[in-house]
Order: sequence, then C-alpha cells, then structure tokens
Amino acid sequence: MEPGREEVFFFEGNGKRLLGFLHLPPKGKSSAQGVVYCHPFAEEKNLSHAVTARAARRLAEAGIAVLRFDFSGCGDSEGELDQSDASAWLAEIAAAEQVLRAKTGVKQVGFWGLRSGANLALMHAQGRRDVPFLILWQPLPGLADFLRIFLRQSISTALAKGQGAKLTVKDLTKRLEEGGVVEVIGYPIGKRLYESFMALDARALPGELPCPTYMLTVGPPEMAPLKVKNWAASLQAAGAPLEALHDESEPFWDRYWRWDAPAPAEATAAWAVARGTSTAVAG
Amino acid sequence: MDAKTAETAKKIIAESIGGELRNKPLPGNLKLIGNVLDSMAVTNLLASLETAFGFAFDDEDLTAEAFETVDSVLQLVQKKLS
Repeated sequence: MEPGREEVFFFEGNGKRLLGFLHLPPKGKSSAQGVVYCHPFAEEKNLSHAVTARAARRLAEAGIAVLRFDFSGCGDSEGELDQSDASAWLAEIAAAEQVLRAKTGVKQVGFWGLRSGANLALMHAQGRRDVPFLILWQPLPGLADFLRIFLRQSISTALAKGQGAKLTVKDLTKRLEEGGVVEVIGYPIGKRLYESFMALDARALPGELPCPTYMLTVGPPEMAPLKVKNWAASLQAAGAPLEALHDESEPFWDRYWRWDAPAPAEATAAWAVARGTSTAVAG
Repeated sequence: MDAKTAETAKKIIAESIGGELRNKPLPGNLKLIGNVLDSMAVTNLLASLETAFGFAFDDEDLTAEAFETVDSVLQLVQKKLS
C-alpha cells in the first residue's frame, strides 16, 4: 500500500505550544472523517509510542487522517508536567480537533486514546452528537486508582533495588495535597495534576456512549481488566453501540521490549473501514 | 493455597516479568528482586495481582522480602486472601 504523507508542526492549544504529528491518507484516498489521538500518561506514553505511531500510519493508509499530539507538560509540548492538569488536557483535545479540521478539511472528527488517553477522549466526546466514533484502547477503570498505582512506582523502584520502601503512597498523597511535588520515576507530579485526576475520576467510565465505539483490551486472560470489561458488557447489554475486542497478546504500554503490536492496529483499522470512515476517490 | 490460585499467581508473575519467561513454568525458588523484576515489572505485578484476586496491597505489604522469590510472592497472596 502506498505510504501516507506526514507532517510535524507546533500549534497553539489552550495557551500552550503543542507538538502535533499529522498522518494523511495516501493520494487517491480521501476521508470525510479524521481522528485525534490522545496519548497515555508518563512512561506509558514513551513505551507505547512506536506501536501507536505505527497504528496511526495504518489508519492513514486506510484513509483516515490522524492527528497525534503531545499534551502540555508532556513530550515536546510546552509546559511542565507538575504544573499541568487533566482539565487543561481536555481543552487541548478540543484545540487539536480544530487543527485537524483546518489542516485536512475533514467534516467529522473522531477520537482515539490509549489508557488514560482513552478516558480523556471519552470525556471530551461525552454529551456531543457530532462525534462520529470513538476508539478506546485499554481505558482505565478509574483515574484516582491509576494515580495511586502510579505513585506506587516510587515504592516499586525501591523494591526492585532490594530495599524496603522508605515512603508510602499515603506519604506521597499527603505531600501532594499539601502542595508539594512528588517525583515518580523521573516524572514530577504536582497538586494541580493530582487534584484534576481526582476530580475527573467519576467521569472515567460513563454510563452511556455518545457514538459508535470500538474498545480494544490487550493482555493474557488472567490479567484481563475486569472492571473495564464489565463496564463494556453492561453498556452492550443496554444496547450501546459498542464493539469490544480482547487481544491476548502481551501489553505494549508497560514494558520496554514490546515495540510492535500489529494486531490492535489491524483490528482497529478494519473496524474503522467497515463502519465507513474512509472513502476511496479518484486521485 | 489451592493449586488453581497458585497457578494463576504464577502466570501473573511470569507475565509481569515478560519476555522469554512469559510462557515457561516458574520454579518456586526463582529469585525475582535483583534478578528478573525491574520497577516497572513490580508495578505491573502488584496491579495485576490486585485485579485478579480482588484485594488491595497495603503499604506495609510491600517489603523486599515479600518479593524476593516466586514462593514468597505466593505466600503474600495467600496472606492477602486469608
């Protein structure tokens, strides 16, 4: 298949200079719809980068324009992580949507996210009627619990060195609540970020979906995300337009050696094409 | 600990380690800390055990001794389940 065209650029989003990566369909393929990709948090962003970049290219090859971007305080976008907050990231998704429309002329924009990025994509789309589709890769059951597990990585680091933990999650949480900064595996977390995750927690998995949604979960059966799968099953039972696929391969966002995962990209592109997000035209 | 619980816990340990050990049976005396578990794998292991068995680790559970070998992790799981 002919490779798509790509463009790297900065754009203004919610008062910050954000880095964007645009993946365009090959000439001869045009889409009325595009998709904004929302990356996961901290090290999961780095570890999943190769897989999600390849998936973006696969979607572009299938005729769907994709805009990936770095949230403020992340990657190469402006800002510091400890000054960031998830509510600002929601505003940046809205800015990215406008940029994708302006740069490609697509009439409709769907949203795709991985882990916490999937929850943010879902929150951004919630309540709207003009979002054509959502692609949720391994959404989190909750943001508060995720942050607890993230903070625990500082303890895991001590354990991996064969040391007892000098700090507890309770200590770290108290420090955040008092306005201090906690550094976890090189990522500085501040009060604003902590409080925004707590505030948005209740919206992580809503009771209804705004549009046709594709949910992909990955991992061996004994590590299946049960809360998320139960959430999806209850939505499906209520008639929500949700298609869910579980891929039993090794997760790709939390380990250093998993740089390729073609199955999720292929399955997602097949779903998107089957529901008619791309259209071949004379080029 | 019943055999099924032990098998599930061992699979989770193997999956958290990942790579070549992912599909191999793990000996109980396999040293984890300082050998095959890095900080990311420890984090994954804790979260996966919590998800699979429905308990939550307390801060005081997280000692280097508890994660020294496969058997010591199984003992910790047994303690959390009892």
